[in-house]
Amino acid sequence: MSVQKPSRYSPDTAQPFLKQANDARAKPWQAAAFAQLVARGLPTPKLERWKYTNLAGFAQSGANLAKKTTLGTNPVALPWMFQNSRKLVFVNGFLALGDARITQAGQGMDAASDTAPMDMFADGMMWALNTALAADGPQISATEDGALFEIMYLGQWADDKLLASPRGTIDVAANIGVTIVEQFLPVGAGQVHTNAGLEINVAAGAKLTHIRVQDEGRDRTVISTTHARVARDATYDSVFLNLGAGLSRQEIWVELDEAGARATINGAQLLSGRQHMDTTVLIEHKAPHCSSSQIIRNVLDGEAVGVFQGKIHVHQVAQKTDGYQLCNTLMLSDRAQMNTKPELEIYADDVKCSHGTTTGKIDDAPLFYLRSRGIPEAEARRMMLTAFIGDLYSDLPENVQTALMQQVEGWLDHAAPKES
Amino acid sequence: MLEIKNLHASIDGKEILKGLNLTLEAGKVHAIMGPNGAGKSTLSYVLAGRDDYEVTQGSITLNGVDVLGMEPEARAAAGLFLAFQYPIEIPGVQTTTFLKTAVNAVRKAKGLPEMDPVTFLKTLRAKAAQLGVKDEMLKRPLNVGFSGGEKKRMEILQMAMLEPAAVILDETDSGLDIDALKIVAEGVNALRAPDRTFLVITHYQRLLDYIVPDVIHVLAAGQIVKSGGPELAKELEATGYAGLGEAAA
Repeated sequence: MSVQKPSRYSPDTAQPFLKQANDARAKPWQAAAFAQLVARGLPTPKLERWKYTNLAGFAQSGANLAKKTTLGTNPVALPWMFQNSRKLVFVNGFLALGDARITQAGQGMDAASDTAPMDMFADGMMWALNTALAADGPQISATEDGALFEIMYLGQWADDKLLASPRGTIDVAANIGVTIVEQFLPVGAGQVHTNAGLEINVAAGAKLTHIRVQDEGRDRTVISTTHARVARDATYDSVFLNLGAGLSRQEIWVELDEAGARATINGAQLLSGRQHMDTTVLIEHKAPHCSSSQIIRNVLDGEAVGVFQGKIHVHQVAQKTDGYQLCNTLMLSDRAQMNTKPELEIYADDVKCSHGTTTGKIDDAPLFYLRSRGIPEAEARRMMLTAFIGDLYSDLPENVQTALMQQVEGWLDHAAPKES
Repeated sequence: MLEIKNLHASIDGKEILKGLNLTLEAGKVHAIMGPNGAGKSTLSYVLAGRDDYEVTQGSITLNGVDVLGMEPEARAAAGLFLAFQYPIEIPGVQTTTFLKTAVNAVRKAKGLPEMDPVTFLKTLRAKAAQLGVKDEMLKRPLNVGFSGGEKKRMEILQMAMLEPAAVILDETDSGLDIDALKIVAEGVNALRAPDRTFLVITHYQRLLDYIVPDVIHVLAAGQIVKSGGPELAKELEATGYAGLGEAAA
């Protein structure tokens, strides 16, 4: 464990949340996380991996820990992507609707906590905070090929500022293909913040497609950490569309543990107004013959601030690694700001790794080409933006593509692509 | 009729077109030949309305209507069509969707209702078949992964769908082998019509063996320096552009 300079963390920042956690919630496996948070607190921008995202406002929000509550909205009206999926609804981090067979709240939490990354991810304090405070979350053990699960995390405003801390575990059995959809959505306005944790294990030869939509309210903070471990010849495909929350940070940490493991991350961040949105990815190649690919697309309007940090860490044993990373950003406004930080850390000598990043306005050449065929400028810009994002999702089932692109179209309706 | 009068155009402060005059009558095919750097591509882009070129003098009218003040999309709606020398690849935009959007945008600008989807697809399939454009190509993103020949055929297909009044073919022969050239030329010839005018811009005479022009112009140093019948192409092939370039200087 490296010794961190105190300024990289702010010791007092976790206190407002910790002091509310009652003894019942503080199970033995949560004690270590508690202790670490008491000693260290939450990360500050002085910590390299938190350079672009400041949690001070979140720490000072005065939010109370969320309690179990009832669903104040019609579950049928929620934007489910599949008819035949197993459905779970969490309200403020607590199960409100779902199937007991796959949801055993409280159980399985011990297993999840065993793998709490703490220092491994350098900025694991939000994971620690989730570990310390979590009391419920989806516990899914998938054993059937073709299984579909959909999880709604609803931040439901009552009359108080709240922090929801759902903690989930998803285990995918060997040699099956499973799809999981997670959506973070608001019910009403008001500050209901989320700090979610999700532990994923993909067993040998299995494939998990993990689709995530974050469309929380603009007055909210949404932090989430997903930790996936991928076994021999297994595949973890992460697909995301983030367009909500005022302040958000999504961390994806993938460990390719055994030979032939594979991960793809295809995600979009759409920002407008004064949103701050951060996606931070760490892919650890810990075995030979593994491959990973990250393709991130961002569209920024208004005075929004976007962040993408992507790291490929190739351990010494991980010969024949194939690692790829690409981050493309379109700026619709001169006042928006994109921070991109690609990192390659390679200790093996026989690997293929590459990364690329572009940031700019919509290209003039294709725009002129479309317009020269009679397509008005605004429509041509919109076509190009839709294509820019749609390209990410082109391998998904059609209903998922349609659902995601409806969200994108809705975003474009509001952040109308104007002459820049 | 497309009329270009005393056209001066510059890019980054450098004048490329220096008083170009050209009248393209409906039903006729005109060709412009000229050495590299004469201003051939500039002329095509200025006609289509690319905004990195600045027109400092002169006029362009299509059937009496001034097009210089129009945005590119308005020019397309007015009946101008530029077949690009290097068609642009647009990932994520399906070719059929693009064609439908373009056709309906032009119809809308003309005050016509949208083409119903069934008629559109029927028309598209028929025209695509004539040009040897496969169904599979129409499902792919526009021009992405297309060969040089496929891209040029796609340009001609767009033209066939949009039915423009004035067509500018910018070095359509570049990058084509002889078989692809024949297919493209046949596609163009099939669209020759009494109410349509063509401007074929080319560096080589080869294309004009297949799209036989009524008139040939020589563009050098930003001006038309010579005009004549189809025989002029052969003459240029023998003598080159050298003397003509000097004449314009």
